[in-house]
Amino acid sequence: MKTSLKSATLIAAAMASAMGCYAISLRASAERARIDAGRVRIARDAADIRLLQAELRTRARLPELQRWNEQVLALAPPRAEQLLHNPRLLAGYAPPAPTPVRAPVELAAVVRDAPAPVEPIRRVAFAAPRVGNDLSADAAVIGTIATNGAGTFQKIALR
Amino acid sequence: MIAVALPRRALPLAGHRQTALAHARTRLMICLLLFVAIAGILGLRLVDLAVLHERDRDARDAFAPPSPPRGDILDRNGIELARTFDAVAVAVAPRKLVGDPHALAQSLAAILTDRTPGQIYFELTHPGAFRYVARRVLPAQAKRINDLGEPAITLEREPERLYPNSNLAAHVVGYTDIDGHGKYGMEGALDTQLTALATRGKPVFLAIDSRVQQALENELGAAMTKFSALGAAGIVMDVHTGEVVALASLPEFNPNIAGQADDNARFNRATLGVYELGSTFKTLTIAMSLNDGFIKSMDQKYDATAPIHIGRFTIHDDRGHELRKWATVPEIFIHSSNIGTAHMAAELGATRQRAYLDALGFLSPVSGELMERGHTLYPASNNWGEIATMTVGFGHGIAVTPLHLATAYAAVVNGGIWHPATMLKVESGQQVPGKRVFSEKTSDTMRALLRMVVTSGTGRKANAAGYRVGGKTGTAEKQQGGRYEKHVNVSTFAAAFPMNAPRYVVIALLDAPHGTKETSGFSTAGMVSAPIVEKVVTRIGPMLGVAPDLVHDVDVSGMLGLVAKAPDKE
Repeated sequence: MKTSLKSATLIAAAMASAMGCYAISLRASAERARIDAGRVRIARDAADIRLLQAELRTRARLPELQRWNEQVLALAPPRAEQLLHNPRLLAGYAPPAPTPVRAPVELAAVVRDAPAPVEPIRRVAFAAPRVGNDLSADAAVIGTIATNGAGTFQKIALR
Repeated sequence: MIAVALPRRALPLAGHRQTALAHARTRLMICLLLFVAIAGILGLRLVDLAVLHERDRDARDAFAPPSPPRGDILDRNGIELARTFDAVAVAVAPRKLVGDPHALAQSLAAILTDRTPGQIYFELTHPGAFRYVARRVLPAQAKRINDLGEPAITLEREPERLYPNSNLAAHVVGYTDIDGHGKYGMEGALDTQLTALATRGKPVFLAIDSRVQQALENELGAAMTKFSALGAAGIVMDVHTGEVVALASLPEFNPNIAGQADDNARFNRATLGVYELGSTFKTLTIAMSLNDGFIKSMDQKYDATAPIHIGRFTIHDDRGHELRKWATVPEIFIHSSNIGTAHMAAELGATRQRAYLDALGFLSPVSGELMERGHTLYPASNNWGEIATMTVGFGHGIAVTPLHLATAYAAVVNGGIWHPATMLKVESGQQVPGKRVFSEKTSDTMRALLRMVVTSGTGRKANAAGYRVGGKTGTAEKQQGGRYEKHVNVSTFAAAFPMNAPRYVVIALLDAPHGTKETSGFSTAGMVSAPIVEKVVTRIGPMLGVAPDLVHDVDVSGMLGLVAKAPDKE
């Protein structure tokens, strides 16, 4: 009796472990199959991406873009003066700051005391966008734009 | 009498039972061993499958995207220039044909519009075992053919090479034949690398920049049409690495349908065509004389008073450009005086001239990976006397490819180091082969001289604002049938920019251009080729990161001070 109980327990234990192992293996193989499916999908997508890239490149091929440019867009390469060398030159194209409300009163005083300094600043200002990297000249541009308002800005911008 | 036989009963004998039991046990043991053995075999096989084979599979990674049957070709920025895809070929096994070949040919011709029923019927009734009806058909056509349901017709998958940019850089990229073997350009030159299993998975990066290539081809094409030229060639080269950033030869062809192109379109004028490049060689002669100390200062004068009569030849200056005096080096250069340069070359001597030309690669086929490489034409060494030295000095009697000229100009302006041309991208920091030909000082002087030609000489039309272009015009009479044609020119402009620290050489060549009203009928390089360089530089400068600068420039005042009168035009 005792021996049969013992062997029954052993059989049960063996069965249980076998079932457990089988379940684990089943899960592992299911997981593996999913990974393989994923890999297949990646491979297929990679091929599709290549195909689409080539189609995109064929449609946007440079000779075709050139033809579009000649017939429709008419873009031209930038001229040397359109390419700016530093951020300060770019700031020179900013919209002018609003003129102070009390400006006329101050201007009268400035004109009477020292009328001369206004002129040199203005001259530098007209030359400034061509000078390029001269720091003081750039500062002068911004200053002049700020005081002279929209008229000066348009002159510089149109150059 | 009835006789009854009793069945014989085996009598239990002593020990018999034990024997039977022993037999049964033995059988049981054998069965048990058999089971154990089977279980063991199964276990071993499982271990084999799970451990050993699994490792194999990981190594090969069956599901990774397969490498293409032929490697991709990309430009230096990764733009696709050539790619391979799966295409479909329609094949037939004529012996297995079930249906009526006439009717089948009719229905196939309705789908494959580029084939006639007659052509298809020929293939369907061919005595061979396997014939192609059509190759590289569209997927939609393949599906319709499949729907015909003829068992003898099979759809074969085969790789197809596609060049998405069509004509762009066709002479550099090249093409393959129908079976996928590289036949021309880099497709031919790198065929082994592109097809080998180990290397085909990695794309090949060319030195070409497609944007620059497009700008060059477009401007050359426009000029070729405008001046009704037979052909054109152009090169943009990095002076520090020898990388060919753009190389164009016109007329060009579409590599997707290379078979339909004629030989003229397939001829690579930039690497295979050899031309006498004329005055562009004067730059090299002056650089040689400077480097060997024959020209000690720029105010040194050479005799340009009268034409040189030597043997049965006469060397004279172009009509309207005669100097008729002893001229300084800048004067000789800016007026492109043949007489002055011939004297300079004679002073240098044949041996030195030959050695320099050899060092600059002019005496060997042009460098670079392409198979289409031209052999230069130059005087034989036993015939390289004074006359040859003089004429070679101003670019006559020596025929080279435009790519030869580009590498030599790169050496003149980059500080004096000659690099072989390469079509492959050079990674930053990668060492490039090179040898010193000219000194730094020679190179500096030459830069100023070349810049002067563009600011005040024959190359004014190449002066792209802000990009400090320097260069030299070269108009040579074209040789046709062994004699020089007076009014048929090969007009070349060889330039570099920005001249204060050169980065790129630009060559523009027009083959047999015709003057227009705009150029007052002239077809000289200063009129027809220099404007191409101006337009190309303006377009490619910003792309290549060359900042235009309207303020700083190369100082040519010292040179100009030695020029009595600058030329008006070429």
